[in-house]
Amino acid sequence: MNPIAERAVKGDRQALAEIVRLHYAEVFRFCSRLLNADAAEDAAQETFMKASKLIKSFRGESAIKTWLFGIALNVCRNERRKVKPTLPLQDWDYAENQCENLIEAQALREAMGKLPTEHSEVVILHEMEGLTYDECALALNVPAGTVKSRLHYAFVKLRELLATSETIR
Amino acid sequence: MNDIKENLKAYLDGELSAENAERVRSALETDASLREEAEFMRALSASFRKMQTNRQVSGQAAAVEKASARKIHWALSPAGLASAAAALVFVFFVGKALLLAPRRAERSEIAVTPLAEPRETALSKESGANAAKSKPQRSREYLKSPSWGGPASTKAAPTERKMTADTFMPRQVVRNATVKMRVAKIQTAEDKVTLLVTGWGGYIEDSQSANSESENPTVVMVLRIPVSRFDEAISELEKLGVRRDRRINGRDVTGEVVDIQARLKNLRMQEEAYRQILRQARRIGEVLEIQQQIYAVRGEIESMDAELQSLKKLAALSTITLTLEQRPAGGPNDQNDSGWASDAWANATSGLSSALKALSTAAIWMFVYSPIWAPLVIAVWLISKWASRKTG
Repeated sequence: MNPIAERAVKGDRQALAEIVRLHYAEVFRFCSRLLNADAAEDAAQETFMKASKLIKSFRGESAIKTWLFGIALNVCRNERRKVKPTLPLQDWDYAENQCENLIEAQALREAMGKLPTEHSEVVILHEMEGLTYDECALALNVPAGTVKSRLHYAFVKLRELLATSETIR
Repeated sequence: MNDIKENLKAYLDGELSAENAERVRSALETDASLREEAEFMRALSASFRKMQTNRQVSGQAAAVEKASARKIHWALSPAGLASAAAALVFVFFVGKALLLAPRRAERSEIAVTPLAEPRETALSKESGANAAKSKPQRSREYLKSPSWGGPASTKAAPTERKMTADTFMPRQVVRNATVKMRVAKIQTAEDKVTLLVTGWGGYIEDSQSANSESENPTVVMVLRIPVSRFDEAISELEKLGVRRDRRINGRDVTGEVVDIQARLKNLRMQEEAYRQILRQARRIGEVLEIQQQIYAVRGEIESMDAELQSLKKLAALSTITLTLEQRPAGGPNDQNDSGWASDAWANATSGLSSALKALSTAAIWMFVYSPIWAPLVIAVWLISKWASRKTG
């Protein structure tokens, strides 16, 4: 287990604060991909509040980041139930000089919005957060084989939804 | 082929085993559509990776501060302590009010209930006028009496009198006791009791013997002792031998005595008023009717007076029912025989029973009052949880 995580598990509040410092930005960006930007801060705060309560149950089976993403995922799911659903990646776009050979952003957002939630979540975790299949499985609390099949079907579905040449720049 | 397609994404992500990856790689070399699909997947992955947001990260400082803040147990937080204190104060005052309420009703103050309005007849109108002329104060009270209306209503309404300095009466308590004693010699004990009772200024109201010829005869005596010597009498009687049983009770009859006295006063005034009317009656019919009323009232007065005297007598002289049992001859003396052990057992079990009763009473009180204290405890807990969430 990560030494900082180990100290945090034992009740070291400073170690917990250090974990927040290290991972807050990642969790914030992850929440902003699933929710709109306004809700991302609340979701990130709540994620770390829950993490501080649950830290004693952390066993080190995954990286602390993966564990945090699992908590954030549940927080975002609860938040989506309360507020009107928005498109994932609503506030996300390409940098101006990086649009070549890329799928058109709005079309991609709309296509992601049409995916079932469990598929869009695994796409964001793997494609945007860079988690491996095993890490995605731990965060989602599903087997790795399920992550693999969900990603496959997500990409197949996205291809169907984006099946016009105009979407590729 | 399907499994090749299903493994394509995993192959591109480097998540396949070597064997499966080789199979997909071979398929890609020969299948153009598979290559096209792979190309699309790469472009899509690149698109996801390239996506950015202009939104700045916010709230990090607050999250760090909350994480490093020391967590206080909800019960010890200011909100929790304040809620607990408020709940305790509330329960204390409610419980005190509820516990004291019955005792206030038992105090000596007796409220006055207004007497019923009289039923007017020709006689009542005349007597009212005459009574008003001769003795205004007494006749007004008399006119208020419900018994003025006729024989059926000669029974005075229940009256209660407010206790003032003028009507103060010392407490009248009827005290009774039942004592069972085991003695060495019943005749000796009986003689001693007679001497004691006489010395106390009382008397033996009744005495009955049983099993006189047997080895353990018994005598039951009903003693009337002045109430002022009651406690002394109990103490002295218990010295005659070994106590087997004792029960003492008291009944406060002060209220009854005061009530009867008040009714008697009313009835006497009523009788006097009738007599006054009788002096003024001219016709035979009126005379006879008034005399009938007087006889009825007089009868009530006599009856109530007798009841009052009986109560006073009971209160003045306590009643002790004393049972004397002689232990069998030749048996071990009372200090060493199993009687003291059984007495000790009886006392111990009685004590245990009292303790269990007290605990059960407390549990019943807690249960009955749970609709009061349980919501308060729950409210305190919920408020503290909310407060702890707010403070993080």
